[in-house]
Amino acid sequence: MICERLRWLLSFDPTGQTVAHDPTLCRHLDNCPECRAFAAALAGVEEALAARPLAQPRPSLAPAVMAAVAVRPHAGAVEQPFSRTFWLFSAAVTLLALVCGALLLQQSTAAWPPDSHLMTTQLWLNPSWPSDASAWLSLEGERAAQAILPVLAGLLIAAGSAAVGFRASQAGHEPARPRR
Amino acid sequence: MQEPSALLLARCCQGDAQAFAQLVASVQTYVYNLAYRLLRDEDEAHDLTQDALVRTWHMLPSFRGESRFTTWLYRLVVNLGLNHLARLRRRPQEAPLEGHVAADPSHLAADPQEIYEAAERRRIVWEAVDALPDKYRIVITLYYQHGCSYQEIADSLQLPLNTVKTHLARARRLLASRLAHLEGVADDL
Repeated sequence: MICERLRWLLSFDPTGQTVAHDPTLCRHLDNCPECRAFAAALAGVEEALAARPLAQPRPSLAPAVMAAVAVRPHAGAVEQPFSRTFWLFSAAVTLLALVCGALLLQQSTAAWPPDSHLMTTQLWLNPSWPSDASAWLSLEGERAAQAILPVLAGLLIAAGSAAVGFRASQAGHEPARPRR
Repeated sequence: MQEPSALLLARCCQGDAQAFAQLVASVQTYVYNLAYRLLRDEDEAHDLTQDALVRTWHMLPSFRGESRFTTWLYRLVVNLGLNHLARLRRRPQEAPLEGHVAADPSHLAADPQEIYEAAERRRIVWEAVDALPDKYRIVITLYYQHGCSYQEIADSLQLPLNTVKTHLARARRLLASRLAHLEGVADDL
């Protein structure tokens, strides 16, 4: 058990400073040949790793990179959270939705019953017509919904496009999380 | 890897190819060595290094400076390398390069026998590094070969700090066990 603890502590801190503060572990290290062998092997690993051997890439690497870069130069620092295509698409969708809504509103107004204002007056003067009032309200609600729904749908699509466009623009800023 | 100056990065972001050539010259060795440790193949490492540096050029305008450039670059290389590695898994492994481990100048004045033994130990240890699981190999490479701190590794790999420390400890333990086993010191470490 103490062997396991000692080796873990040495693995976390190969300098041995953590172990040095614990007299029990120090005594164990002095008396356990296997742990001493582990400590010696770990010191050898540290020494070998700390040598930081860096291999040199081929001399052709940098020219190859610069040649590839010359073929496709970037446009410089452009902070564009949304692309032009996205803006045009959103504007077109919103405009279309507004035009459709306006047309439907116009049609529903043109098809208005000529005596609808009389019905409204009667409703105010004599509120004892619950069934007629209910029917009138239902009709008005349907017409309003016909006019407003396309506008709402257009705005919803525009908002969705904004979210997708913004997410896409953010994805290009930082490399993605490594896959595990 | 030393952090490039803000001026150099700004010039690169503005599309200055000469500045980017300077940047490539300063980072290519580190990118190549990280790529080699990931892929364990010289040709593949060169391809990955080239790909990573070309992507760096195109992605630099979107680098916001929220993290260090080196951290950002390591993350890019590791992401590309892991994707590349997944494609290479089906291929048979090639033998490690002879002499890929560079000489350590601190041993130049020592006994030839000591030089040989130290070089042999380095070769054994780095071969053992190549045999480690990807997650351990990457942290060992970034910590020892690239001189990154725990925090920089955590930022580069987007891992919790304690996970990085645990990966390093496990990797060291595996390497020590491997070295002790090869040297015949103990078989049951």
